[in-house]
Amino acid sequence: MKHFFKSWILLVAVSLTIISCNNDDDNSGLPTPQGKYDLGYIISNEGNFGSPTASLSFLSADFSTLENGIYANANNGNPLGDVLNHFTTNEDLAFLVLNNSNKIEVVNRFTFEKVATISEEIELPRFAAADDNVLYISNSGSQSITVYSLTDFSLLRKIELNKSVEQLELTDNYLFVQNASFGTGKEITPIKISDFSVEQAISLPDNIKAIEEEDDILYVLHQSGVSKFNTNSMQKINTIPFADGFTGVSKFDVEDNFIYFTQGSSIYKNSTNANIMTATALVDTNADGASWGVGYGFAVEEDHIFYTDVNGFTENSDVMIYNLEGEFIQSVTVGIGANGVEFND
Amino acid sequence: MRQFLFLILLLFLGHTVHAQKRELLDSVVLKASNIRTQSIGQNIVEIKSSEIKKYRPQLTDVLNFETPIFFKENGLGMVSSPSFRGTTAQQTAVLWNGINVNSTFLGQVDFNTVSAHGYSDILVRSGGGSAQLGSGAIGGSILLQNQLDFEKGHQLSLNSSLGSFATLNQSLDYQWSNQKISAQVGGNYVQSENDYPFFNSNAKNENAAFDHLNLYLNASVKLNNFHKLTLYATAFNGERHFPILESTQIRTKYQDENYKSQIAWEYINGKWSAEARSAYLQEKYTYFQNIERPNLKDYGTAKSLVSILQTGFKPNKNLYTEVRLNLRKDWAKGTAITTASRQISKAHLFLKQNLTKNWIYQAQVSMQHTKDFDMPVLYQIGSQYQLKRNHSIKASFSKNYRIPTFNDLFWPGSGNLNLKPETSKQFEASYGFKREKWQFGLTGYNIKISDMIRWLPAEAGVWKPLNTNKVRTRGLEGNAAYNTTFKKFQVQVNGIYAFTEATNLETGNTLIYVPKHKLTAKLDLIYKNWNFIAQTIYTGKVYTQTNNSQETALKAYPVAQASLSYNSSNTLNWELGARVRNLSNENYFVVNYKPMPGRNFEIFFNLIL
Repeated sequence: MKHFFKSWILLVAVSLTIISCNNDDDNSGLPTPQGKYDLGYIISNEGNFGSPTASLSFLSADFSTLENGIYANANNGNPLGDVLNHFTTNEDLAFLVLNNSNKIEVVNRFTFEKVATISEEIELPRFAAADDNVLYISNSGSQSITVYSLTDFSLLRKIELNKSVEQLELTDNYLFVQNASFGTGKEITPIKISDFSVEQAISLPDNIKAIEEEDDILYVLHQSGVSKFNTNSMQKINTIPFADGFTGVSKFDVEDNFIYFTQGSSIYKNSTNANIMTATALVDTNADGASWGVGYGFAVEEDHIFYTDVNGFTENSDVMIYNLEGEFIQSVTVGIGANGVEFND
Repeated sequence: MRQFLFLILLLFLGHTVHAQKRELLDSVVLKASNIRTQSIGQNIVEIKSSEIKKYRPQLTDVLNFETPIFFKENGLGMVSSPSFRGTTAQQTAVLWNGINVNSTFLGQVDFNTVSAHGYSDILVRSGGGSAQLGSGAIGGSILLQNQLDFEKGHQLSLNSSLGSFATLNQSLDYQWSNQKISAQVGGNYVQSENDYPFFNSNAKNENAAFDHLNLYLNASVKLNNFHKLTLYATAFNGERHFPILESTQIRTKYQDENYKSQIAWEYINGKWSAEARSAYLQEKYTYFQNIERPNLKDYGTAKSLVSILQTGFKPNKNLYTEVRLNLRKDWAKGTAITTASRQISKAHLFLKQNLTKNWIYQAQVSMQHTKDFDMPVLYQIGSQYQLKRNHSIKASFSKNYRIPTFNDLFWPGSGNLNLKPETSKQFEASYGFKREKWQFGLTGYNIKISDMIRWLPAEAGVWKPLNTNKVRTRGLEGNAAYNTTFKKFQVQVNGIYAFTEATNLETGNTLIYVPKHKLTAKLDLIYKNWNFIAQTIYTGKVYTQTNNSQETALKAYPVAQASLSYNSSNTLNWELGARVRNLSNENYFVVNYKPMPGRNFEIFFNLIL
């Protein structure tokens, strides 16, 4: 989600301060990987429900090398688990949310070697958000947010919301909890992270599909458009409605002043300041199958658009990569049910 | 419609040309219509209750060893779906005393939630039979039968077994009949901790316990020489925990509660017969999403009422005709499908005729109607020719279907009301050879299936069913049996081999979980009071991904079992024995990531009074 240049600066800064890092950087000025899986794209493959087929793939920044099954490769061949619903990172660690395994695997972000398994008060975990000290997990089974210390991975708090909990977005002051899952639910609950107090929910006029935070603005994808909220005042900024012809938009990403989203096999791109979401596609991926069999995972990272075709979960997924103008670059075949892509740096 | 006209024409020709030929039909006097006598052109395997009792009390085990059907069993005792001639789980019809009992919700039967106990025999007919047996009879049909015999007196039998993983199986059956009345009552109870250790790890099958109780009552009364009234009733109550592979996982369980009842009136007088049946079926499932939160459960109940009216006419020794009307109504309600119903009416014509002394054919057509979707006209034509010296050939051609289930149509947010039935056209031909000690059969078949219903992932994590695929399955089935007496040994050897090629015609790939090869073999030896049985099943490699990826394919495996028992029939008729399953301690997977048990043991005791 960060601009490459920004993250590069950050990386250099971080690499100077991390003790564990073997950084004998020369004077070339290029970032040196802090582990085997640094400086590349991490692709999460949720796997088939009911089997330990969740996996992670690593794709090098220039798309030249792909390694599937990196968790197993880094951990003596042990399977990762059952349904990798989400993964996120903080400065040093990656958090793998395994929904049907009912656990969170915490790994070193650069080597993917296991650090800890969290299962206390985990009940069908959905999404994770973390800063340097604390990890937040949304649990659909208990309709709660569980909070863990990242020093000893102990449970700090269980915040019961008694409504559906799904995606999480973390700012300096608030954790935003999407109270909508499987296309049903119209609220977002902000939780103040200083004292874990639950604030007044933000209401939307129709069902929420996804949320995304960028530069102190919370973008909310819902049935009729994308609404923007100020993440400090909680005030609505405006709503960009969909033009006629959009019926089932369910995935989006906000990156560098553009909103990208998919409907069926097509990808759309609009300015974050647009008045309306145009019905002209940036590109049609021509992924075949019914409109719902494709576009399971969608992300915009490092000036590239990633669109996954999960092939009905009956075989491995294809990830199609485009540049921001919608030109096809290449595709790679990863694990089962590819649902997310993030650049690791 | 064109096929229908062709059929009419064929019937007409057959009638005019060969009306005077001699009998192959049972006799001049009509007998009650019977699936055995209405399967010209197709193969039927009969498994008697004495054989059924030698297996685990769920249908999976007995059919796995005794038929060419492959079962996709998700761990021992867990959900078990058949693949008959390479078809899907919904393409095998299960009939309970003539009534189709495939689940209203799922369209299939979970062969581990149907007790194999309490039937006088199980008939397995390969190939299409939807015109006769209804939805799902594409790969084949399983018929659970209760034959009520008269003038047999009393019989009480008790069967007990105790096995590894705290497995207990207990059954008690009582039969009584005189000249006019025949009754059967009984039941069985099975329970198992099912916590077998996994190979190459310290883990075991966690949260895998199951139990079931199955009860039945059947009775028949001959009112006079012409009229007979029969009642069938059965109740099943089972609970299964679903195994977990990781201790962190949430523990779930599933309960099934099923009732079936039926009343039948049969009338036979000279050339005429008539039959009226009414059946009431009820299925209920309850899924506990988390056994620590018992209030968190999903359930669904479906009720079905089936009425059948039929009349048969046998104008002469060589001709039999039958007309049947069938009305079925299904209702369902539950947490997901809050309320739904469907009504299907059906008319069925059947004809069977001897063309010559050695040549017989049957033809049938059925038309059905429902408001929800268009129903195809279904038919079957079969013929058998007896060659000289115990050789015979036969063939069958049929059109069959599988209707969308309630889940396909009405599942909230997913159900697709635009679905149409899956249809199949198929042809098979067989050669058979039979002598006193030998028996041999070989069958080839070709099945084409269109509009296969498949669930695909939709937006926001929702899956939806669609009519998408075209599939062809073809194969060969061979069986051989040999019986002899050698000194004081009675020896019986038999084997079944199935070669199956199931192909998705759009991609050219082999369907997942369809083994190309399945071989079963059995040796049954009796010496004085001792009985030794050795059996094996060899299952070929299966693909688990539609692209036929080799890395995720499951390797072929053999599984063997053997039992030794002692029979006494002096004053008391009893049998005591022991059985070893998975003799070679094979680490095998029927379904990927669902481990099966290693070598395990059982002792059994049977008593007949």
